[in-house]
Amino acid sequence: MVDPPSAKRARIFISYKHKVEPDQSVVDNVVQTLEPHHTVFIDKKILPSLEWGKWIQDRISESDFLIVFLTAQSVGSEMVRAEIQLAYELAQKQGGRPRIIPVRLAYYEKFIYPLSAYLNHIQWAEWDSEADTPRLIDQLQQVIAEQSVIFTPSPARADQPQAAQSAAPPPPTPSAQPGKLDSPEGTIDPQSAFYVIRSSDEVALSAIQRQGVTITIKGPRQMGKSSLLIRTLEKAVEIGKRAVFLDYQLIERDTLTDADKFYRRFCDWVTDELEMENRVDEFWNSPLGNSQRCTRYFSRYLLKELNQPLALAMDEVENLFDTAFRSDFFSMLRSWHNSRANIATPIWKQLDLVLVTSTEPYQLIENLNQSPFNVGEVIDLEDFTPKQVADLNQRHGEPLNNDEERRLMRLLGGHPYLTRRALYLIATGRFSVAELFAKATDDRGPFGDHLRYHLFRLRNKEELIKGLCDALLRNACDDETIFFRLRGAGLVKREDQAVKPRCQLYADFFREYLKCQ
Amino acid sequence: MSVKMKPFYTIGGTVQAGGGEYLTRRADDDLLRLCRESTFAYILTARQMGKSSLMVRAAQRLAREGVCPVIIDLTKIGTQVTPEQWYLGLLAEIEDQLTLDTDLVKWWQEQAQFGFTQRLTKFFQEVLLKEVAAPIVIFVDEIDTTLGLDFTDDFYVAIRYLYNARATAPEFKRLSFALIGVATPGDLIRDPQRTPFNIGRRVDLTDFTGEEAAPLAEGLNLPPDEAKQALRWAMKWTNGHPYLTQRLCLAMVDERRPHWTEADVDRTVAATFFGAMSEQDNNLQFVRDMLTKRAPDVDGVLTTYRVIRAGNRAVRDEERSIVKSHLKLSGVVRREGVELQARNPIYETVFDEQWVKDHLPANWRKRFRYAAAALLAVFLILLPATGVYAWKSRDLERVNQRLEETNRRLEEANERLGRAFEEVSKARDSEAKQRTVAEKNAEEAKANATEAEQQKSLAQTNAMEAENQRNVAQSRELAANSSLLAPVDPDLSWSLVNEAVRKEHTLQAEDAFRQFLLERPMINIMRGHSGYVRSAAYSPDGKFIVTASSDRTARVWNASTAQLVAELKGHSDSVWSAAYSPDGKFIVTASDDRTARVWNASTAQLVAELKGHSDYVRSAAYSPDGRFIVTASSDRTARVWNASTAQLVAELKGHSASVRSAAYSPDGKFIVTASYDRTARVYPRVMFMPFDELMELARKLPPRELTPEERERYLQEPRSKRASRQR
Repeated sequence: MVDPPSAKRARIFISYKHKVEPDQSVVDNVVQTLEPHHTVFIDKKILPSLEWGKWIQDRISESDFLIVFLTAQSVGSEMVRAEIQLAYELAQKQGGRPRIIPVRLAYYEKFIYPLSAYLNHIQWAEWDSEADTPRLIDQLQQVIAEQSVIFTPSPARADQPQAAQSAAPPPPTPSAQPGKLDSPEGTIDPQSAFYVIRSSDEVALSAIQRQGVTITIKGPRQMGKSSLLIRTLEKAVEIGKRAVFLDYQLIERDTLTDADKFYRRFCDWVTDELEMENRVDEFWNSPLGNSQRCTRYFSRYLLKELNQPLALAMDEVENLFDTAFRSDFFSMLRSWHNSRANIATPIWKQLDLVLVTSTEPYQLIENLNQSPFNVGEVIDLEDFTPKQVADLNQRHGEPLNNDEERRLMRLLGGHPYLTRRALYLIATGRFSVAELFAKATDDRGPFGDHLRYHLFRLRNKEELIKGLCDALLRNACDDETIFFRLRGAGLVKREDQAVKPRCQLYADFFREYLKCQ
Repeated sequence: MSVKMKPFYTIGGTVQAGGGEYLTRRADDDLLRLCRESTFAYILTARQMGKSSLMVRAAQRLAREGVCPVIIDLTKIGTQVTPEQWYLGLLAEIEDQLTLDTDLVKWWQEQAQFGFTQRLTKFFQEVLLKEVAAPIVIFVDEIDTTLGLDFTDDFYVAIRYLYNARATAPEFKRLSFALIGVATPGDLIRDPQRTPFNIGRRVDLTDFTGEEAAPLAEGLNLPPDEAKQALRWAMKWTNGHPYLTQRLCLAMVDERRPHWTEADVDRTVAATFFGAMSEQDNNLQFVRDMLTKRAPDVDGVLTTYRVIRAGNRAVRDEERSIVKSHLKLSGVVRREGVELQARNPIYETVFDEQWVKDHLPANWRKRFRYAAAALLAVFLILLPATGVYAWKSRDLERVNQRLEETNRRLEEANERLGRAFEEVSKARDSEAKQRTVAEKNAEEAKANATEAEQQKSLAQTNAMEAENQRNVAQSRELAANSSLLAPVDPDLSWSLVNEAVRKEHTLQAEDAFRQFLLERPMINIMRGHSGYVRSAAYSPDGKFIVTASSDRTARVWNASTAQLVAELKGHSDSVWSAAYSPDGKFIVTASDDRTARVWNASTAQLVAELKGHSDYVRSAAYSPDGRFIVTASSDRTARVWNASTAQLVAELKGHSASVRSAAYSPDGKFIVTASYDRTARVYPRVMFMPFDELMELARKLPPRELTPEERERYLQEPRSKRASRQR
């Protein structure tokens, strides 16, 4: 980024939460100033459609900058997150373009996960009040022109979570939040009061207390898998194990196309998390294959030196299911599991494996029996039962009566995140009960952002759209692989032999916007 | 918090890794005995039979007896490795477990003048047997991972060599191997001359007997007698299958029922294995895949299974039958004496008659329907008209009746004819009036006779038709039977096909004839790709086959032997199609890495890269004259390239979604494209002609000269300049 400063027109994509103040007025000001000198793209909120999704994709990929306005509202938006994630991944491929510029609009809290992973290491701009707008615009212009200005955050505020706690329930986050896994004290998660304990939780929590276990948590998107994973890791830390959390949605795409890179990255990553000296090069010097180099790196170095049981957690492992080395990598993990039984290699009893996947491994791993997915404890998470929804309703102060509760169950089918969201919106008075149901599929309704995000994810996946249409129109899906991908994305479910949209809300929304034939 | 209790039952991985209850079986003693005798042993059996647990157990006991066991889990070495990494990896596993003094890697590099297998045997002789004084047993688990590797035949040869060498080098008697996995010996090494499996001993892993399974009752958390009874009910369903039994016990424990009845157990079985659950249980998934996706011959596997499951006819086990070996490997049948039988009621229920019908390839289902119809027809024609008066037999009878009747009327007519002639002769002497009457009578009689004659022939035709129909039906039935029997008793099947054709040349008989002759040569299976195989095509001379796979490679195979000839490596993402040039010298591949690549078909060298598509390239094909290549891409275009210079010639636009395939017409004048936008398009040659040819074409259509006014207007040429040029 050492281009000489020039009057070059830059292409800028602006990501923000619409029709919310102060976001809208700040954005309007910024756009007015930038537009004469640069090409500015704004998602003007045309009605959501597949074309709209493609438009966003295309505009972000040709942009030089993504300016993202962050507020308490927008950080929880799945669409804002999707745009940041897209820019982040594109930048890896396109030599740092688009560059992400986060702007905190009177928002001083730590970024929630996974935004933190994308944004924590980059500079952000700040805005406190109306008076700040000119300074902000000035800063942005400089960054765009010179592409190298460093922001000066007010250190007093940065990284200081606001203590504005009230009795109101906290907003649910679309993704689970890994707490502090390195100290047994941890932090008390404000969400925990609303965490629904399912029977499978006990299985995971009691398993992790044994020596050398393998746990697999399966279930579609937003089923609560990562929450359970994090609770499991917290338990591991509590009883004196070390915990390492790897989230494969964050892995660099190019490492997934090269087995050598991937295995090394995997070892680097774990070493890094354990804050140990990196000796990967030394082990990669040996003429062995990648699986064995990696195995030796663990058995002869990491586990040996660590001298403490290690719980290694891997989230979103489905990101690896498309890779050419998946069989080898997962076979290796299974062999680690089995090595615990070999009297010659007791070191493997020091290692626990906790795997989380949203896609059924069965469809994508040729030989499941040479994978870690059917050994140890396998936990299949499902949508909330009516009883669990009732329990959650109570914990929110019972904003719904029995009839409404049943109606919510019919609409959302016990979808954990949406149920939590609905109850939060009603309990905090953001929506009345009647409004929530009336505007359920509405673009600006209670679930608009979530539904829009699903549509965005489908934008270039024609097979999935066709499969979803089949589920909508015929309650069937002829291709098992497509079915499992749709189920993994949390869009459909199987009831007996029929394949249906996961909940009534999805059925209504996609029937309207997908224009299935 | 206290450390929680270990699980009692194990439903995946080795028992010892999870700390579950281990059940001893006869196979424990068999394996241990062979290992103590240093005899080469192998366990090749279905999934989840407890192979690895058995191995770990044997290793533990051997260690106590002073034998030195080594367990090599081949999945640890991986499959994306070079031969060197694999062989060295094997030794590294041994080194890891025995903590040898020799530095393996250094030693290996010092021996670089020897081949890998030579180094392997040298290591055993010069390092392993020197450093370890005790007998050594090397267990090699998951040997089926070698199926996809083309260099592991030598490993089996090396093992065989180590045994043969015992005669001259007695120290080898201290070293033995046990190979364990899910495969048939034939899968692992093709050449019977070099296989070690005929010098080794097979250890059979059978289901638990009631006695062997008895300890499982303890985990049910019931009073001892009730637990025993509940386990007996469970065993009724599982027949002692190691996984299913433990899975069921676990499900029963989870229900936390204080008392159990047989009906309760049945309900738990249904809730655990049947209906939607059958899709989720991974053992049932494995069996399902083995019966369908992974079957070498789905028809054969399913029909044979069907016959075994029906249990009406004994099916002999044959070691050399691919279909039967595969069925055994799937675990759905077991050997009982010399026959094969269904394994247990759970499999029989999940993979029932209806399931088999649903999974037989479509044409087979149709054929079965034909066969059923034909069978019915034969039944109706041939079976006694006594009891059943179904339509066919009634018809036949009616024909016969009519035949009889016409005969009677014929006789009657003849009689009347005779009488008429008599009357004629009588009348000769009498009045002319009388004569006419008599003549009239005679004519009438004659007419009657003719009609009877006609009816007779009609009746005969009917009879022939009936006979013919009987033959047709019989031929069809024979054909159907022969198809059914083909996998079970090929000789009988062949005789029946011949009978069928002899009876009547029906479509069904011909089909069966064809199928049989087709199935004689073994189906060639090209194994080795580690991903989906997305396309396969013959070379123009038919000697080779090129396949494209999501493992990022294309591979060239010998079409008659299915041996790998070459690997086209270089694409960085899924390869979707691979095709030969018309002269067979080149191969073009299309990949998700946004390129198509041209390879020299004989050297497997990359010749050219067709770069420019901005999204996945999903197909690539040569023009009939070999000069051009057309590619189809998810970027919504198809592109035409000069095959020798790799230059872009033309871009074919118009589709509004991914283009999935593109191909030339046989005369090269058109290109047809197929797209996810629900259309296919035909582009005429002008759209993809190279520019020079286009210019040539243009020459035939000389443009008219522009007028001075037009030149001024469109070319902004001042009129005077033009005038001066003209001069």
